[in-house]
Amino acid sequence: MANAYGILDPSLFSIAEQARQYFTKKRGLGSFNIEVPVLDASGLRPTLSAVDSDKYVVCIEVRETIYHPALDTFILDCKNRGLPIKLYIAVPASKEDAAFKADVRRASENGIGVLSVEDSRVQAIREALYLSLTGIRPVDADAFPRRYRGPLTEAEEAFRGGNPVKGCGMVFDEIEALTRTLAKKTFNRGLWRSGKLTKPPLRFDKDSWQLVTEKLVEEIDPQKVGCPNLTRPLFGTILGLVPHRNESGHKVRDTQARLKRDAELRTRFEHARDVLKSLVDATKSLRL
Amino acid sequence: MSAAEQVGLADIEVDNIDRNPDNPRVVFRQRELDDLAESILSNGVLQPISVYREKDRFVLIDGERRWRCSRKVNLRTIPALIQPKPSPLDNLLMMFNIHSLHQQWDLLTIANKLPRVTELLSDRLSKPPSEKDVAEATGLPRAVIRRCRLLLDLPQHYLDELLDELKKPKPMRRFTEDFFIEMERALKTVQNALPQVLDSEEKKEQARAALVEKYDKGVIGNMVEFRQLAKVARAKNVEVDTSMAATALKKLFTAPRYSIKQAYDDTVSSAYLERDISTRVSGLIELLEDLNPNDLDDDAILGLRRLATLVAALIRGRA
Repeated sequence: MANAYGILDPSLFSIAEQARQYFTKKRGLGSFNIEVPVLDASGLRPTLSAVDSDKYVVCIEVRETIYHPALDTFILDCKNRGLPIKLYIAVPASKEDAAFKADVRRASENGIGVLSVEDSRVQAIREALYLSLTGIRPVDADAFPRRYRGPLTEAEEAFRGGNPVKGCGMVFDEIEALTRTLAKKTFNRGLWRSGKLTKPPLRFDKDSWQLVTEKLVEEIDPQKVGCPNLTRPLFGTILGLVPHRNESGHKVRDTQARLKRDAELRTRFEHARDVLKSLVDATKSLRL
Repeated sequence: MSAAEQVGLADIEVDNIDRNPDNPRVVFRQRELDDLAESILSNGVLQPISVYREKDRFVLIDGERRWRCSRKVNLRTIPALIQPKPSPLDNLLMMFNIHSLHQQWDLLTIANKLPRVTELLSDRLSKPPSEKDVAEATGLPRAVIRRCRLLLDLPQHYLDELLDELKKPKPMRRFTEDFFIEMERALKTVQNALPQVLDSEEKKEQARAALVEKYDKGVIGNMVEFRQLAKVARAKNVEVDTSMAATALKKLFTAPRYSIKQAYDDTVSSAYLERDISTRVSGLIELLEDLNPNDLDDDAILGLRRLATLVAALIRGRA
């Protein structure tokens, strides 16, 4: 294996070998490529790369030190193009001084995992994030009312942390809950077009989200409820999200399919968050 | 004409290039490579590398760092000056001469290739090349060639250790080429001046091991101390009993806590001091004898008065 390296300094061959064995034994990776371009990403040919069972390309860059700005180009390209890549830096174990900690922090901020290798012991100091998922616009939690900030931050963490379906689902939960509350409270306050009814025409908490939203499209008059932005197009947008509500993360066929899937999820997550913001703003005067 | 056929400047695929097995340079420091990679990412490869054609591929003559970095940052092609295939000797000498223009190689990398240069030069000249021949062919100063030869006298395990050290950033290195060169020079002096102290290769190797350990443990504080070791070996020059010097050196090579400074103080320190004073005094007397008092300014007179006072006090003290 050592002879296969053309760029890696010979003093780091053993570190590369330990890292390879670690990913084979502990994480089930196999068929490593050595020093080849990955998905045509610019800025780096990682020392080792292999495709995991979720069709992400796991890259292991073997270096003496953890971080250098030359890695930024690769990270940026992966994020911008949504490339389904995880990058780990494997370094020889060293004294954990201030410079080391600063390097680990910087790598971590960029979604890079860090492995420390000493003899046959490999320690994961930081886990890598899926770079295809970390390129989302950060949540401006302050722009939301207090009660949404926690859930939105958690949703973003879930998304960036490798569970994009769960992250999307958490945002959908908030939109659905707000839609149901809107329906219930406007009905109770007699603000529907059909006027004050004695019995609600649907079960606000139990009927499907789609049914509740379709009822709102029929019954809500933006002017009557004093919410001019609570428009049909907004409800239409919410209805557009409903089919994705209960989607589970299904297996993808290959890395290209993973790339496409993550791009869809990224768009969906950002879109759902924007829809939630629009709905929150549109219903603000109702004090739901 | 394809890139593979032409001679001149061309963009060549980085994957179509092989490193030159004769490149003396074996250490490529991470920090240097990182900085170059960053520059290549920002500005591209500004200076073409040099290659020659070997069947359908290319072999590097100059620019291994640029080529490595270009591959590392995933460039597809690199600008290259394609040259005719050189003879084995010219191949090696061309790299020496190019690199002596660019930057200083580690001495060990040069040393490692010198035997091959010498061998190929012997074939070309039909005689063993002199130091001057090697210097002219490689563009290296003769002093550098001598230093390389001292390194080559080291047993292989020290050369391996030194190579490992060279891969580290400078502040993290325990041993340097200079350390081994200073040590080897001193041991050579011991061998020449007091052959009974190091009368076999085994003893010389034991002495090396002892000195390396002492340096590692701080018993020897500075590699310059090896010059004092050589002075102890040259005890005869200052009329000190050579058997005393030999005993001190034997102790130096066996007793773990005995330092070079102690060996120097126990043997030749005062003799060298006396010789130093005598030499300086003789020179000063010679100078003063030729002086006209009117040539001296106030500062010089003040200095001489101070000297006279110190000399008088020293003589009185001895009395």
